[in-house]
Amino acid sequence: MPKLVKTKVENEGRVTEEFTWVETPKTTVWDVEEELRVVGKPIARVDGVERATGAAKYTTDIQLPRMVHGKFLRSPHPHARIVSIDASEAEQMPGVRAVLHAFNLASNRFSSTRDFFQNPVRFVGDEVAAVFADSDNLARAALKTIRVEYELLPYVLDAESAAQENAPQVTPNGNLLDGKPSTYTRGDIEKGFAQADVIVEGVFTTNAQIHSSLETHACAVDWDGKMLTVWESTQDVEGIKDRVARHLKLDKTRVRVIASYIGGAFGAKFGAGKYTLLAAQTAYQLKRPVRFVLDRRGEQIAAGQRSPTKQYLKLGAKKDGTLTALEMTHYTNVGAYATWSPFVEGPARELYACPNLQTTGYTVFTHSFPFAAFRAPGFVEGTFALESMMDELAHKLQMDPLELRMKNYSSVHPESGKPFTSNGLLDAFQEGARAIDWETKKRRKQEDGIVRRGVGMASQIWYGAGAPPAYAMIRVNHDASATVLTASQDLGTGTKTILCQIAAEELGLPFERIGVEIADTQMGPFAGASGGSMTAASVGPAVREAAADAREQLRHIAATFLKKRVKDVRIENGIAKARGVEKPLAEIFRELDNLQVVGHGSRYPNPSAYEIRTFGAQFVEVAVDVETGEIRVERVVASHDSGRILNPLTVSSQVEGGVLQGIGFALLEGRVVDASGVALNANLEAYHVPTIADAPKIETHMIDRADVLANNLGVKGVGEPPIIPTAAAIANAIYDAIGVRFYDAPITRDKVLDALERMEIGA
Amino acid sequence: MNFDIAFPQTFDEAISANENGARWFAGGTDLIPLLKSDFVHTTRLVNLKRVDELRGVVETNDSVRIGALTTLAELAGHELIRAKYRALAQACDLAASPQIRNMGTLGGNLNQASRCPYYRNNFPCYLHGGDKCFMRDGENREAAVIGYHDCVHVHPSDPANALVALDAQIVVRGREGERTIAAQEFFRAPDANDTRMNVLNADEMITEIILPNDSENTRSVYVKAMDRAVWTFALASVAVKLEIRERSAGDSTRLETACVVFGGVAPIPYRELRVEKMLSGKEWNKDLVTQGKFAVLQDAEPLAHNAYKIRLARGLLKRALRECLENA
Repeated sequence: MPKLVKTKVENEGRVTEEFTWVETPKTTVWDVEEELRVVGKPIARVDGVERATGAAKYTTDIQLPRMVHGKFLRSPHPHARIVSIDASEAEQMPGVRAVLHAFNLASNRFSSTRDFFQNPVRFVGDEVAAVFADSDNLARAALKTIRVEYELLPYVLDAESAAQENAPQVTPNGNLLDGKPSTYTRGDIEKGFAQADVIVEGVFTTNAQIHSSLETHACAVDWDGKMLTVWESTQDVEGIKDRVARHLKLDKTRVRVIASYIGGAFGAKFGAGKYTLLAAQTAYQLKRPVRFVLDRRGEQIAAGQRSPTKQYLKLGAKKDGTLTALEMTHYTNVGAYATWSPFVEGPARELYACPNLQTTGYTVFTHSFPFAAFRAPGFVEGTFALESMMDELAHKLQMDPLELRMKNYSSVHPESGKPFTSNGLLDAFQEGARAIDWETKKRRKQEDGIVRRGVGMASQIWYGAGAPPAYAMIRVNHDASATVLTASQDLGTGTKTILCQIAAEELGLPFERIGVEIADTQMGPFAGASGGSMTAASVGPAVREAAADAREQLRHIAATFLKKRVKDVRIENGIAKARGVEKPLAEIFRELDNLQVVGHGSRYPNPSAYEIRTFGAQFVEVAVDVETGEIRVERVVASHDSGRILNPLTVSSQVEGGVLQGIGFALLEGRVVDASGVALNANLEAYHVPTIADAPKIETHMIDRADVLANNLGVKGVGEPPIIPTAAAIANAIYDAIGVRFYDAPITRDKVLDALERMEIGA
Repeated sequence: MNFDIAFPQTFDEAISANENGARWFAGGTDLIPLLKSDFVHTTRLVNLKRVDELRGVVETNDSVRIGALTTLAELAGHELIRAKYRALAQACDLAASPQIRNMGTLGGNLNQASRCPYYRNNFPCYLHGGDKCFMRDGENREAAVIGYHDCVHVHPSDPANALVALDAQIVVRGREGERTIAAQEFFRAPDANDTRMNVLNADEMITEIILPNDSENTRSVYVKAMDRAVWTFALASVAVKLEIRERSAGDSTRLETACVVFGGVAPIPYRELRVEKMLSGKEWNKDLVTQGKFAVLQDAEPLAHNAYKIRLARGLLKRALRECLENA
């Protein structure tokens, strides 16, 4: 019998409890050696052609008759009290439908910690007013007529300064999230350092990284008097539905959210934005469709970022490399608004079997740009520091950096002591080292020419277990094709494609006979947000369950037709077969006219006796020109353990994208902020994401082994792991090339040239 | 933003269309963003794209003449330019993105506005008619290290450096007629009183660029350093033109004259006369590059965060010379 279960759900290290409706599993895990027909094959994306040709309709493509367009006026000051707003001129402009601000909004509450229009404003870019007008241009023109009187207040931009006692106050509750630093201790840190033969210390900084999605945050809303339809570029259609319904006090069944195609998200597109709720309430009030698309500047300053960090690290080790103590303190600048902290200390706490450990994390509010999740939040920043420090430790011990890591490998989770469902870290080391020829290259003498090459590596740990609740249905259509229905979403990762593969495998239908309807709350059952490398391992198992349910029904139907016993019937490639007789399912369905088969499935809870993590290592070759400071990443070998590989094509595109973003974080991307609090590079011209010309050869070497304890597919997430170790591996390779260690990311030309000058390297 | 737009067919029509605050534009890759940013206000735009007489590359006996409307992409791919004026072809090829090179013209590129982040973010600086340079004491990683006055921005054009090195002439025409200006005299460093980046008058437009018909012994190269591999403005760059002569058959070769122009380090293409003098008359071989002392930008006055540009400029010059040696 199905039962109601309350289960722990972990997303990016944060644990919540959720109810889930658990059916008796109809499937058992595909074994490591299982011969699969569709799953694991390099199948091209089902929506590749429409994305490439422009046929795909993104949220920003939605245009409806009588549409009204929304735009924000943003604060030019980092901290200021709004004394008055004169919007009379804008309000009188023909075609302007609404001007909203803190002094005229009926309810200014946006969330438990934020107003729609905060007063005082807390960063350069904070929303001050919104205009809704008949055209985008008109809205822009109207914004320019709004007169705002500000009373300037003292501000603080830097996290360490903001954490001081007498710093200008950012929030009414002070400048630290939760009012105090978060601390974690295991063992005895003093004793640990006393036992150490060697101690290394370093201070690291990482700059902000901005998601820079090609499609900015955007929504379109249409209210027809009965149903409110929201098109939103989002990672969480169900979350938007819930939020919009609560905001408008509508029943959830009267809100429909669609996110057919998403032009980039990377963690920044979870909840409903201010623009979403204001667009929804305006559409509801005006009874006209509303479109609200952030402009590029708004996207770059107000839609979130990977927060800048400053990290103090200290490692102690025995002569043989055994870690005895690890101390870490970080200041993470979450800007003006944040409700949770990126887990910067995560890698330090989880990656190695260090018995004595102490971390202190200051999550600091400042009058700068707000934090949002960004692909492995915290772990990218934390791993850059930790894995650079480990490299330094290895050199100090005159030890192979890879050997040092193997020495401190933890076969169980170092905090809970629980075993992992699977742990392919050592395999990733082995495979990556083999592919890059680590043994030869690490022994290479430092070059002395103009262009010097080096090799470096770094490890990675991350979540990616997936979790309930996630539900799916399989509808077998009248032509015996099948459709996967689930209110998940495809961020561009290939979710649609892998769900079709899973369904085809389990149903016994050809891949081409499977369609998929996702990212529409009206089409499929709840499937949760897409983030935390969760989607494949959350929704995939539910789809397989639903397909198994449908397959059982098909076998019963076929048995009747073939006049055989059910247990003898199997379905292969769309054909029902039993003891020498066979009939295509399509023929059976043709004769059955309006027969409809629906299978349903749900994701059951994760095993509580185990920890589930993804692991990996990257090996990088760089070339440094000591005359011009140019760093070229020439080759990246990425070896990751994410359990079973459902589709090597979509996996390698995740790895390539992650590595590229990692290169951006390591070498190119950073926010340039003037002392006035203004972001100077809030566009895609001056903010440098990597181009294809910056892309090295990226080789994906997955440890493709089913995690048979994790879920019925044996799959773990793959979206975030590949961005995590890249920056440290690059920094370590630079050290190998020129003997200079860089503690500040991104490692830009000026830093390289200044260091070369200082160290008198090259010309 | 409302404006009407004229499409003159001839140069004379274009000149007469330019009244009452009208603005000419060619590719529009700079002007349109400036309009959107409210930095330029006009109710009348004059699109020059149909003025065919201002387009194309023509070879005469003693020169090569480039119409100002010739696009960067055309120049980057032009056989004659690539063969005889390699530095210009490379500078055009290394500028901006393919889309912008397809639209952007040489004339427009030479007359583009500053890319100073403070200017582009609308700080009330000299370039906006204010009384302060915000970059000087601010985020000045990209600022000038030499040749600046009150404003420390750098000239953003890549081709400008190549044209100065190649000793090009810039032909401009206005209501008063035509004048020809040496590329080196065309650009100017903005100061508090006059924020123009070149000597064009308001009624004048660039019509032609004239390159001298150099001897076979001339070679040139343009090398550019960027924050990433492509699609960014220069942190520093160098255009080099060398005249190399064999003394007699089988004898060693000599570097007769050198012209060295740095980009990204000053508000103008910065000609490095000292280095030119040092190079001129030297034996032309590998040793010159490996052993030569390149005291570039000796008079530089770097700001807090841009001293790296001096070392970078030296590295680029050596790379440029090596490239000339390799492509002999």
